[in-house]
Amino acid sequence: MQEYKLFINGEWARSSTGDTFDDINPATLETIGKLQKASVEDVKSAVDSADDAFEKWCSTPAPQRAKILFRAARMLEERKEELSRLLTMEMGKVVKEARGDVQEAIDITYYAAGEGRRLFGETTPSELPDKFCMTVRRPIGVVGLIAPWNFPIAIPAWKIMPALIAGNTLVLKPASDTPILSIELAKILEKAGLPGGVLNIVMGEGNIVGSAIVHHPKIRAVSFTGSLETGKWILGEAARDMKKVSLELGGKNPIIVMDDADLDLAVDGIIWGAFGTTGQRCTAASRVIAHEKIIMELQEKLIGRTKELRLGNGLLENVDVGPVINNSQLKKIAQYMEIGKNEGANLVLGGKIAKPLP
Amino acid sequence: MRIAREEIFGPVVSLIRAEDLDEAIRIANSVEYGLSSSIYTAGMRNAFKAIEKIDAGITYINASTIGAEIHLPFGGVKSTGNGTREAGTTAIEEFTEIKTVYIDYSGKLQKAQIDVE
Repeated sequence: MQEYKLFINGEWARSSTGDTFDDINPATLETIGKLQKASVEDVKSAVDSADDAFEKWCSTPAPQRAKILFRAARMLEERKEELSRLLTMEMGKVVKEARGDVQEAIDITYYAAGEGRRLFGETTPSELPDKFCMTVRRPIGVVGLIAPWNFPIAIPAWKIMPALIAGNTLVLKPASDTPILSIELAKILEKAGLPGGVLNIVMGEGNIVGSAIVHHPKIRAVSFTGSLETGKWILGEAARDMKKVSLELGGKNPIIVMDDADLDLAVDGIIWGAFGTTGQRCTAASRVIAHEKIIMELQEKLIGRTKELRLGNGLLENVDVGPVINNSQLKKIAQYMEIGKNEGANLVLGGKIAKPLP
Repeated sequence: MRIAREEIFGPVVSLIRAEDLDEAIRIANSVEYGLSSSIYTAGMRNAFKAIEKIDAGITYINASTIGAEIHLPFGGVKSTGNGTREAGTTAIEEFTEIKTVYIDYSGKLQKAQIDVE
């Protein structure tokens, strides 16, 4: 069994309590890794190490910081297939989509590295003679990043790479369902030359580790992707210390299909949007609003195409839809089937758990 | 109905009838979130009206609600977020502060708003 440690001050460390938790493959229910579970003390160490590393990192010229990101992007490219398969094992999405997830991390890493030679400010004329006016960009300081499980490498990279190129030092809490890809990303950055303490990783329970990050006075900004409920809580807590907060929360995303639409094209988009990543995307299409003239024809086409979807282990290339991430999410989805029926929604296909967990 | 308003985060899609574009947009906007959105149509008028009227951070025309590219801003309105955007150049906004700098090389005291007559 592979063990994964916390990453604090450039060292791979055990938790101060010695507690661990397991990372489960949702397709097979096998344990794929044992992880150190961070405590509040560990979060404090991580924040202190980020704080210590800040002065030097923010004084490093951005094009020099970029060199590390360019190297990391190339390493991600070299390991794309291996990381994609690991991602499918950890999170469940089909391997074709896992490759997209890793590619997104590669793309944002190159893009952020390029920003190292931009990070533009502005200049504007002064209203007075012999006077010059401009703006420059400064890093915020120590930034807390809290990532979800549905894009195990893309979303951590979306947060880490721009934050690093801007000169911040970081404490990342990956989701407890998918910490391994964040750890692999950190190993790559370490190998690419990222100085110790610039990126720290603490995994563990949201109400302990996440809360300790949000409340720590040295954390000056928090970037969070996840549920509306948690996002609202973070915004409220962070407001007391005037921390900058960036939230990416829920969606209930509509696709409107008009009576002049190419229905086959629309069906392709609906299937991809609703069932891609097993519907576990914040941008998933969860409502189709169809013009009454074509709704019956669209429904028929949708039912036909949905029936063709093959469910199973995402590592198999012929599988279209992988498992739901964990049992509590599965139960929640199943509960909505009952809510829908009780409210008078017309169930036209599915509505049952395809393969209940033991 | 809750099933058509709340985020389920699973492979569930609700099919809802609308009599015209105005009603479709009204239904689209009737939830608390505003992240992504899409319209399938052959008509320019429908497409531009959807771009203008759907309350969302992202609108796709003749493409699904997923498929964000990393060099464009990503994020939503209403309860989807607090006004920030990830990715693209907006990611740099997310992770920097702006410092305004004035450099006076006149060698004398110059007062803004006062010494301008």
